[in-house]
Amino acid sequence: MSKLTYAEALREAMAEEMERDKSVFIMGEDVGVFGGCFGVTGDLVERFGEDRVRDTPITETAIVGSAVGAAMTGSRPIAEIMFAGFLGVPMDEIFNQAAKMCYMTGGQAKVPMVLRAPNGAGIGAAAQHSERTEAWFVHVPGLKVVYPSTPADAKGLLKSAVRDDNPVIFFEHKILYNHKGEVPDDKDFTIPLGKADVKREGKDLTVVATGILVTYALEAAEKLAEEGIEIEVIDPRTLVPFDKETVLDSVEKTGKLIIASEETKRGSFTSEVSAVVAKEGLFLLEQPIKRICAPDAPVPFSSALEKVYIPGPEKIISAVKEMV
Amino acid sequence: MKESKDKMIQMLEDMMVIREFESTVQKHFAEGEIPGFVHLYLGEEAVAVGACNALEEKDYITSTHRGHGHLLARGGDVNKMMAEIFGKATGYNKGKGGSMHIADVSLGILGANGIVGAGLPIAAGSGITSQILDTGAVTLCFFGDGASNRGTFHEAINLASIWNLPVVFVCENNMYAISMPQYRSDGRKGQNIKDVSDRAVAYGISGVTVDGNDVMAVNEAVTEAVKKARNGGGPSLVECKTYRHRGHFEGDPTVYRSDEELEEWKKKDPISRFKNLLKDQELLDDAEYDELKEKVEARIKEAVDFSQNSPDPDPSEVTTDVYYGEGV
Amino acid sequence: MQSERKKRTVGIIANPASGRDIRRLVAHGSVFDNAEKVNIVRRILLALNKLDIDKVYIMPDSFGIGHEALNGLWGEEKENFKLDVEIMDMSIRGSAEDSSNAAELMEEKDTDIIIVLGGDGTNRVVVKALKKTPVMSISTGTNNVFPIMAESTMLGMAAGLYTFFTEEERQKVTSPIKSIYIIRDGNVEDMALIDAVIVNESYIGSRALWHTEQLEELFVTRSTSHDIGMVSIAGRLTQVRADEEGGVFIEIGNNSLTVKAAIAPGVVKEIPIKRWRKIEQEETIKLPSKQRIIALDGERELSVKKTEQLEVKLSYAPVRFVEYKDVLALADEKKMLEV
Repeated sequence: MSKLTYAEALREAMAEEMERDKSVFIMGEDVGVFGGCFGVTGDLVERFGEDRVRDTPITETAIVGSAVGAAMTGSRPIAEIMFAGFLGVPMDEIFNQAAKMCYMTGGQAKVPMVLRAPNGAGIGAAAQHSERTEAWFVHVPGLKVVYPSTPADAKGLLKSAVRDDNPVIFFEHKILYNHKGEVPDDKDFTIPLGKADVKREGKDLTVVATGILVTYALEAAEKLAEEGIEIEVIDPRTLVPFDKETVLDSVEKTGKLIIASEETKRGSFTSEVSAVVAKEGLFLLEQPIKRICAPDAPVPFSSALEKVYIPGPEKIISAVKEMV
Repeated sequence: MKESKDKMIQMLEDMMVIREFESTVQKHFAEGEIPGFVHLYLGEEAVAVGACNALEEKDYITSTHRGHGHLLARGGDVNKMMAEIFGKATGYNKGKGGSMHIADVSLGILGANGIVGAGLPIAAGSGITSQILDTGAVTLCFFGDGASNRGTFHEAINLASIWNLPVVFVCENNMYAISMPQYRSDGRKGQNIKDVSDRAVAYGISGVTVDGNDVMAVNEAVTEAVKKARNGGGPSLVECKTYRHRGHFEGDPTVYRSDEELEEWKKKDPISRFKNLLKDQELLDDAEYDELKEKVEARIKEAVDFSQNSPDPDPSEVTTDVYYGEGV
Repeated sequence: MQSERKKRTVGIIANPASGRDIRRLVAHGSVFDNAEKVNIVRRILLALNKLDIDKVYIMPDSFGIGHEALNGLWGEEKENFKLDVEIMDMSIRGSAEDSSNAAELMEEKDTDIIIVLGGDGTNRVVVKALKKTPVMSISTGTNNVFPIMAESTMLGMAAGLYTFFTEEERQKVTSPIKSIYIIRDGNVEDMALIDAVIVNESYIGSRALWHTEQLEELFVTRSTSHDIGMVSIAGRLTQVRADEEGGVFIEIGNNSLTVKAAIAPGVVKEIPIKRWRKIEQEETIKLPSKQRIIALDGERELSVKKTEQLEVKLSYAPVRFVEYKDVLALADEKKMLEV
């Protein structure tokens, strides 16, 4: 075990996969000598050379489109899009090319690629640089969507994503990059896609949270525990495929469900989880499902506004208290 | 360059196969046997055949919505192709792709794309693999004049240029993006240059224009471009001027172009031109041509029989192949 | 009442297709886009505008070079532009035929001089179509020997001034054009201005000639040390200027002599010479019958069957080449540009 930041864990995952498999390479804007906009790729260009850590121009369409082509011909590209809010630029390459290639060719083509994208608000970057876009991709058949909340998960999931034979959209939360945690050193350490993790056990209420909201939910849990309320915190970790069993098992135990994410609420990933539980676990629920999300508005710039906008631990605490 | 008689006869046959295949699709589409819509390659045969004959087995191509010709020129199986267009289980894509997405990945075909211009970045990516894994493969990217106005064209060629990727961008300039003329000196136009190859210089790569209805002209230019790419010379842009005999899709009333224009282009038909050349050079006589034609017709007829007698896909197939190697 | 003088007319033929052939791929040919051709024509027109020219005819083409040249005028330049420019009414096929048809039409209209923008190929087509009208040529491509590299404003001025010259003066500032005529079964089939090459190939393909392995025989109208292309081979062997009589006939093949020749931009090759000799002006050479391709001025043009009889003749074209420097010098001598 080593104590690594989330960003370092991601970097080690990439380094290990590149050492293991010469077909793995990285490309993106400023991922080389600059080390990545958030420092995630760091010194990888020194360790693996410019051929395998490719600095691209500002060319999102070509980054994603060429990742598709590289993946179809035997490479395993890890492409970085500087901000999740920029994913709209190469959208065709994601949902029409990467996602559909296997199906359209009747299962002939595989597209083993990872698209990494820093997600989320909280750094005063305003609407276009604070976007949370996971729901767009959850909607698209053919894509897998991953969103780790801890350094260990980040490493284990990214390694699995690289090894997966399908396109994986890999979200990383900007605020989490500097969070530290214990990370296994074992080069064979991976976390399978499609397996949720119970981050804290509890009997009174289930909170399903993603990304930074997992951290907030755990903070809330600490405070609630002081008052004798034990909430169970579940991180799906991969949004597609979604591990509904773990969630349903928990709801069976607690009878109450809050779904929390930093997304804007309408048509979000929380909507999907709600629908699944409402359909398959309706009679396990003692109360209506509650969702904690950002308001249906773009992310504001002013710190005063952004603070109000982002759903923090307090919102979770008050929602829990309304339900138990 | 001197080509062998056998290769030239083979190229004639390849063009005739495309002509017969597409004419047959046209007929069965009109009869309502083929769902959706089809974009026929009639008139453009010399581009696919000239270009694909410049490739080796390990090379790749990206294809387009008008892609039947590319796949046939690359050696696609006519039975599986026709069955795919008929939407049958025995088709290349198990009936899930159809006319616009027909592909044989084992022949190095990186999908046929319904999104205009989507193939260019994919081709660039295939070029990255050639570099990273040192495979020596060249990727040939087919796209049209319409695609050359999309951002994908600019971004992909730029990337290929700065990384010196082994990619040959082959522009099939058939003069129209559906109804929009690529260029005309007055009136509506898609771009203010007459030759798409003019754009090459802006990306620091070689650009040439050839007669896309002359299979040997296409073959020569693409052969040189492939040689250059394979030997570290980087990407090139080869523009082939051609013309589709049919509308953008079957059923297109082609109100945007004149009958005279079509007739002018039909005089430059790539197949009759090449046939006449071979006859002039005494490499082919009428009897040999007739024999070839019969052979080709029989092959396509068999493909239709195969397709008509093939089963529809099983309903359970709706949700398979969404993910690679997984049922659901 | 003044007797009506002959109208002073200039024709312009600009080929939108030149400058993008396969030599950009197999050699390092210059890139010459249509926007620059528009610019050249515009500069010619602006020069002519200052010279009291009655009429300028421009060949219509698929790019609309003439239209674009006029459309690009603005402001004061446009206000002061009084030149009568006519884009001729003719159908466009987008091929070399356009240049040929335009040349014939301009000659019918009794044009004094035709300015040709293009390479050796375009000039060949224009000269072939003409019976009397002199040409002045500006190079817009690579591999050219016949047209000159010059600033088109000066060419425009020269063309305009030429129309004021007397017959005698015109003779003084022009030179004859040597040509190689290709005679098939007794009929003149085609011609070349610089070189005709017999190639052991079976198709025309991408037209430009850059492989030297298939070269068999070479005829040149001039042989100079400094020119590029097939003439570069002849330049190694002997010197024959454009303005003197005679040419050179070379057979390619292994013998004792091999020369280095610049056959295309950036392409210097070793060419084996089997034998060579000078040919006389008006000499006809009969070639053995075989199936061959003939390249004229660097482009594969003709396919010959083995049953056909082929002859090559060095002669003069009926029209003359206008030396723009001589025109400008004579004009200054006559103080024609003094206001």
